[in-house]
Amino acid sequence: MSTKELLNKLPKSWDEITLEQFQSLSTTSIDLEGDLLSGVENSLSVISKLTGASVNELEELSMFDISLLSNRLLFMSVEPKPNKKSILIFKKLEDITYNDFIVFTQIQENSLDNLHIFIKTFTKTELSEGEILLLPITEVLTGFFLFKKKLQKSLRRSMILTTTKLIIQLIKIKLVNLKKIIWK
Amino acid sequence: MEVRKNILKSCGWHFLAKQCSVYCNCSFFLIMDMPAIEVAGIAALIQMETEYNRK
Repeated sequence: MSTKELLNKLPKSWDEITLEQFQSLSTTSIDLEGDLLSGVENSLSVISKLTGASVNELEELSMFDISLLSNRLLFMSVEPKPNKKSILIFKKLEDITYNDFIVFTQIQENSLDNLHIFIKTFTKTELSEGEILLLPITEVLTGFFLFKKKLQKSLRRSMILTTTKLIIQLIKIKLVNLKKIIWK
Repeated sequence: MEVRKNILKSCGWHFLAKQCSVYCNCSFFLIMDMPAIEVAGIAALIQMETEYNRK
């Protein structure tokens, strides 16, 4: 593959990286403590995963071409930001069935590899697992971000409700005791 | 022992669903389709009743 073809295959932003590619990238072994050469090797591993070209093929390119390709991936140094909306709408806590819970217990060990199964089980989406794997990673990130906010809000609300009920119960008990004292 | 451990690991939650279905006198599949929170409540109830009967 020519450098131009490789450049065309490389994503320009997180929006162009699918969940499947992200899962594949997360299993790529990266040397974080090495030297400049390790940095080049890391880049080649990532470029290989994203383009389908073998590392041997990429090693034959000139340093200029490798740096061109690596520069295209500079956006990866910044974490992706969630959007305001997502097509992934997670089920409410009350709508999660026991069957869904069992699926969760079975996939939680390899949670990142099974993320598409988690999304299929816990969202109201009609997409198949294959279609979910092709979703942009930013869409998946936004879905989880909004789910986390919704869950926190729901837990806070239920905490306030439970606390309020307990306080009301306590007041009722004190009133009954007071009544007994007065009528004695 | 290892076999029992593996069976429990893969099917333990289904055994609990069966216990709940026997307790509630309903079908296993109904329990599987019920909200997980409600099934947790039934399981807790079964456990409390077992503790009560033990003492």
